[in-house]
Amino acid sequence: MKLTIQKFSYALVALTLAFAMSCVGTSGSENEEHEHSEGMEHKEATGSMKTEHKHNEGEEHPNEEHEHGDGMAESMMGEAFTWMAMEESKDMLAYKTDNVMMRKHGEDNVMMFSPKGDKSSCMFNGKQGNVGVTATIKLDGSDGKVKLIHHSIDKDNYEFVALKGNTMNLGRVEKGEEKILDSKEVEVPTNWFTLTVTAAGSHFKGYINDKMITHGHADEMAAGYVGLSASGNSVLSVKKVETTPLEAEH
Amino acid sequence: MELLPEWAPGIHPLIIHFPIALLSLAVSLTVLAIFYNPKWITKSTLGLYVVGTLGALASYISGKDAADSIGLNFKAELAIGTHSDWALYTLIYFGVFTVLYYVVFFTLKKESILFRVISAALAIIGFLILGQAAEYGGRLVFEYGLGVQK
Repeated sequence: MKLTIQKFSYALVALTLAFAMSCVGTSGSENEEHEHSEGMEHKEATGSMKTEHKHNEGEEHPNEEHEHGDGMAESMMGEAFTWMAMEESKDMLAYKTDNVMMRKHGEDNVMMFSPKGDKSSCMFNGKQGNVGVTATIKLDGSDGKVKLIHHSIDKDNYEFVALKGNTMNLGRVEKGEEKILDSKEVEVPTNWFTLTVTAAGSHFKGYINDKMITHGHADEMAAGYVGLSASGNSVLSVKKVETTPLEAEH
Repeated sequence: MELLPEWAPGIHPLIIHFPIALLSLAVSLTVLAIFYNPKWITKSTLGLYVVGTLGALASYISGKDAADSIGLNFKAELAIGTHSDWALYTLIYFGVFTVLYYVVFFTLKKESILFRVISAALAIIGFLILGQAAEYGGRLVFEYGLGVQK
């Protein structure tokens, strides 16, 4: 019996050691990854010029009429940014359709999407991987659809959170085919509100005024662009768009 | 009458420690069974795996609710997702393992040293998966401050 207890003690010690080693291993690899990604930032920023250039020439956003800003696209690769609706921040836009214009809305400057039964959209410079995107918006009229787009590679491959009437859809478009990951009924505020989407690994969430409404799962997509689109007869006003790259936790 | 204490952010932190303790003890007994294998150990181990896995299921469901009710937190978003993924792996792993353990030891009556060693090895793998889920859960509280009243 004494020998058995001794063996059991050894087994417990071995288990504890295995657990401790697994924890140390995880923490260590995370630190390495963190340091690595900080170091990588420079390389990616330099290398991104080629990527962006390639994108300029060959690829398309959801709307094909875009042009990239000269140096802005490279400097914004995977970085947090806050875009405010004003003439000076136009350089941060990769492109916008003709029916998207800067306007005064009371005392605020806003970017106004007036699709008038058609589509209107804009995309921002800088590819983002795991990211949180918040747009401060206002919808006038209920006959329209607004999409906050992320991980956009071209017009046939992107992810989105969309509001149409009282429904929030979280989904992705792959090879032109739309797939809804989650859908919920929601009361859309009539005044200014924030529409947020987060893409963290295989987890995707849609929020209104910081309250989670939709949560879906799908494979992680390659880094892509962030943007907004509106369709139907509503008018969409946008005051601010913020992106926050999410911390690596793998 | 409120079942949940006022200070508790939800039911998840109150129940999560039960499956961790029950499954850890079950794994320890599975390893012990390599050297010392009376009937009561095998029976207790199966009971611990069943209750522990059911606890893991309850924890996963309550954890999903907790994660969805946190509100927007960019800083912790990836850690929440990673914790959730490891919790799901733990639940699936121990769910399958418990069924196999029951079938092998109680239906097929296989109790040879080889089966005991294999089941101990598989149990240790499950324990490491559980450890990953627990580590990320701990980090959500102690590193990111989730569920902690300010």
